[in-house]
Amino acid sequence: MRASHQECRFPDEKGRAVQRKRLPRIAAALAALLLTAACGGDKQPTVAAPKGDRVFITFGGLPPEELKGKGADFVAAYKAKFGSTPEGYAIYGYVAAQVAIDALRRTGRADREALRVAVSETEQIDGPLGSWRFTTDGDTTLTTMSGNTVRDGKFAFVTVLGGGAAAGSGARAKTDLATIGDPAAPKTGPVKFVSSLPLTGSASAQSGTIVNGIRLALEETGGKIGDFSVAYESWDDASAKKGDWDPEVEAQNADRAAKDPSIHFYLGTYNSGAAKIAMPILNQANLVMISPANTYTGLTKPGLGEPNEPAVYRPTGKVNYHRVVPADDIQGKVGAEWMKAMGAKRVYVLDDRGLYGKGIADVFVATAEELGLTVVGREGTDPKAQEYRSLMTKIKTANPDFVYFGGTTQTNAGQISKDMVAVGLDAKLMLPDGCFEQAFISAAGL
Amino acid sequence: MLTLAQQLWIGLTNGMVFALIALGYTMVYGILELINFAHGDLFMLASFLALTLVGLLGLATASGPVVVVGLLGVVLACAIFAALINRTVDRVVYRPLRNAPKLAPLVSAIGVSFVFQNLGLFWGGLPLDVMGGGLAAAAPKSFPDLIPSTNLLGDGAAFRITAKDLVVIGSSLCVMVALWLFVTRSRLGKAMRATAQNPLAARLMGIDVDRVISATFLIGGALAGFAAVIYGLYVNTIKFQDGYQNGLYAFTAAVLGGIGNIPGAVVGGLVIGIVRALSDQYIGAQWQQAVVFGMLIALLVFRPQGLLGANVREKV
Amino acid sequence: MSPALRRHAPLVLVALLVLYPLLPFLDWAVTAIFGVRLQLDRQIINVMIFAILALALNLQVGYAGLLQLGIAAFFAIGAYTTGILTVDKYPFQLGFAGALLCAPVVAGLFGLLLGAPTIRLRGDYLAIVTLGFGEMTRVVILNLENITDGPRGLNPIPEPVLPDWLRDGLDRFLPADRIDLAAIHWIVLAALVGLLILMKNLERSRAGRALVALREDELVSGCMGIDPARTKLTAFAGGAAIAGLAGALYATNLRTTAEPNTYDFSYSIMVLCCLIIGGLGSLRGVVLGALVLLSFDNLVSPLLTRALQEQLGHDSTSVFANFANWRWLIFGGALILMMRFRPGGLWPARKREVDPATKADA
Repeated sequence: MRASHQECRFPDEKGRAVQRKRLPRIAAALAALLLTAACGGDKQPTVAAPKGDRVFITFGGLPPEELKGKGADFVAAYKAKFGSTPEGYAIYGYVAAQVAIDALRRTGRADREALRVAVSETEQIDGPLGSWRFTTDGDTTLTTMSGNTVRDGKFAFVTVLGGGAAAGSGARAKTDLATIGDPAAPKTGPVKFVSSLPLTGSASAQSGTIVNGIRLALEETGGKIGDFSVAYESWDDASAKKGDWDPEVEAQNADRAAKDPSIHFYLGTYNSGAAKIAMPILNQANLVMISPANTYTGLTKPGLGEPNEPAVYRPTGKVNYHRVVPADDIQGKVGAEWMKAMGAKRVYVLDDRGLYGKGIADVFVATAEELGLTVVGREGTDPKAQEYRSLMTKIKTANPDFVYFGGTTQTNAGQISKDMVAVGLDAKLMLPDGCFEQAFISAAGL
Repeated sequence: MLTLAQQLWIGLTNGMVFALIALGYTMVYGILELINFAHGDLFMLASFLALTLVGLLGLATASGPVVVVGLLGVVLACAIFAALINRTVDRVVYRPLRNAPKLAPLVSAIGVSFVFQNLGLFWGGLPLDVMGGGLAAAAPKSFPDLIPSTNLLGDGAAFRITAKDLVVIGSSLCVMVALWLFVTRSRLGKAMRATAQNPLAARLMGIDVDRVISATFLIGGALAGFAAVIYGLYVNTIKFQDGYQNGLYAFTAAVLGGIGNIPGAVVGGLVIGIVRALSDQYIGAQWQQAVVFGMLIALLVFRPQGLLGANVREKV
Repeated sequence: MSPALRRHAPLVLVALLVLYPLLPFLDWAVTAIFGVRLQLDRQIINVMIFAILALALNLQVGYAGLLQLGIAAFFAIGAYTTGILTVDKYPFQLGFAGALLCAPVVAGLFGLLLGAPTIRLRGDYLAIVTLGFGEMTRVVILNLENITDGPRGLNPIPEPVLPDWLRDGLDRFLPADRIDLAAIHWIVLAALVGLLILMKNLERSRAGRALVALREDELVSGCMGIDPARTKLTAFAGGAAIAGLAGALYATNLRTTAEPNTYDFSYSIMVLCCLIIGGLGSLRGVVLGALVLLSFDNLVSPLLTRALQEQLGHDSTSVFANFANWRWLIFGGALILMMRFRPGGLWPARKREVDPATKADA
């Protein structure tokens, strides 16, 4: 099905062989329509991707197939347990849980302050994602990104992007964990992990795979970490009345976790907007928060978001928020560099007007201009729009050789990819990691 | 200039789809004065059926004639499916509320819309190939490109007309003309118009009003089913939230044209399609909704009965 | 229930709510009984804010009979007015009290602005105008980044603080987080109770009866000397202002305006559903509706999801294995059944009380 599908997508290539006059051509097409309206009608022998690769996706870290060592073990274990290939984000759920487990092992006490310090001093050597630690702002030092494309209905790895040390990545002094916090904190008993992710609505596939990743990590401990018994609850931060993550519910989840003394790790959120709400609440409770998916820069990096960020999320001044994914400043930048390396000159930048999409597009534009790419247009899209033919027609007149879309599968990246073809816009498309999921490929019909 | 023409063409094609959905709204409104909120979601369910059938029949890889026959079958199946569901919902949900205050059926319709949306979400989670294996239930689903989108004017031509556009416009026009003939010429159509004008008088004249209402729901549903297939073929993506946005625009189209007025719904649909396209070109894609609704409000302030709403007495 | 108890029940309830922040053991008791933390403290505030919003819509739909499908717009305007007037990005920094006064005024002005030209439109046309306005407002807020910070939302919005003497007094026997809670809890409660009293009086006043008369029969009431357009417009703007107040409280409670997409069409529809479930035009009903709706969303649904997860356990990616994904089905079904079997809502308005009064007035 997919092979012939692709032929339909690029029909203009093969049309060239037959040069007919226009009017008879319309008439012939109309007549042919009634009989042989489908692409099946003018089937050609399989030509793999006639135009070469057209869609490029950046992703923080390597795609599941490219993972080596423990990463590959994770993929195998995930497949064995859940019967499906993990989506890109699953491994971050897994690693986030590992970080928490490791911190609990090292501390040996269920004390929030000690655990916070232990998490911030995490150092994974040859873990599933390679070797990395947290910066003093709670960011991962991993800056390795991958550039991927889509071939034969699957993501295909193209190149490693970025890499190198992140700011503030120098080794950190280790604190003696025994001296921190309440020495009388319990050393046995139940310890609860919770995650707060949007399980309803459009992002549920991504968050589901993250939950699976967390489950896998916790089950590998056999339910016991030291003398602690592990419990895990997966909370939903979406509501029926919003159909997506709901600020009220996220605030409520954070508050519930903050006030429940048996909860020691808050794994979440998925949406950076939700993190903005949960962070100050959890910070005041000194509860560790590890996000497997937030990439908005302002959450951790001073000077890259609003002037009052990230201080505004840390009312106590302590850093309790950590994320295991590289943030948008890295991704937007390597995206622009990759595009430049592929020989692009003119780029049209779109975003979905979301916190994530717009943030990453902003970084992309800044880097692209630095690198000497011409940004021929910058616009927002309506993620609920049915289709984008008009917009693509407009973009066509600007004649870019690349379109960058800051957005996700859910905000219609698939449709954008399709409508570029539908209006005959002969440009390539680059997308950020929000589209790095099988669902994007099926949505785009690639 | 060419760009303008191109945008008008795109707008016209899109507008046809809105018009088809708007017809369902306007017909039901004409008879029952009910804003059938579930109509957009009925359309969405039909589009899921269409995709399922296309997948089961293997049309994506079939040869030309098979696709044509297959598509006709899919259109028929979707139209019947949507028509029957629409009528059943009317029977079970709306009919007991005929004498209730106006808000009651409206709220029921909202309820039905929720139920449909949820069913659409589940449908997307079925383990079918066309649903992406059902792994990501909520994700958009790709509808195979069964009609070529080759430019009929030649590859390098500055203006773009595709076979797909012509199929959308041509088939929609046929359906609209057929509907118009049915409403103005047939016995049942006349009964519909009579009921719309005055249900009580119509009943006194011996018209079986319940039957007329059932017929209206059947026809409105069939139009939604037809529109769903056309939409799938044209846009090539369906989502379980599609009912919301399309319903909103179609409902706006119906009001714009003068709700209850059949030609009005078509005109309204086309206007919305065109305004959308022009706003994307000249104002900016992120303002699309604001422009569409702003125009609607402005229009209603100056022409409260809608574009074609003057002939209230002929509404259906 | 004896009549005396019935008469005093609301007072008892309000007294309980006033005392609630001072009684932390209530939460412990609830936790002990249900075995899970229900977070009553947050729930109560959320329900009260939602109830205020629902009362705003009730004024427009329930009393005046104006089908309004864009209440979220005024809610958003209230929230963003609060944001603009309080965050440190702007020079105003009026603080909580100033914002609370300004938000309803601004939202009310927008209500007037929208209502003045459109209030004469027939019912369903007005519905679509308000719907369109709701979506427009959301898009405009989202796109006017220089003012609203676009998708980031405005934050942090300052928390209300209690006067020092009260704070010091409470400090002796309450934990700190409980005192912060008390401030917002009491303010929201005061707004809600004040509004309920206002509405109760409105029901019995000349203006309120004029509204109801208009809703029932515009022609007749016009003949009785009621100016339909003016009366409707007042109700519309009033409702908008109250929604603005709810928005101000919402943003203050969350300490951010959240994303503009929070205030979309589905939110408006939910508020309408809340009215319908509780009882259109019935004050008690509206409050009950807010309670039922939010409890379903925030309490029952997470509990059931947890139960389902424990039963089914493993694969979280299946769409069926998550109770959260059944919510629309249940909610939609409930709406349909309500309309069929209990169209007046769970706690309908008592018609009899109104009718003789209206007659006497006429």
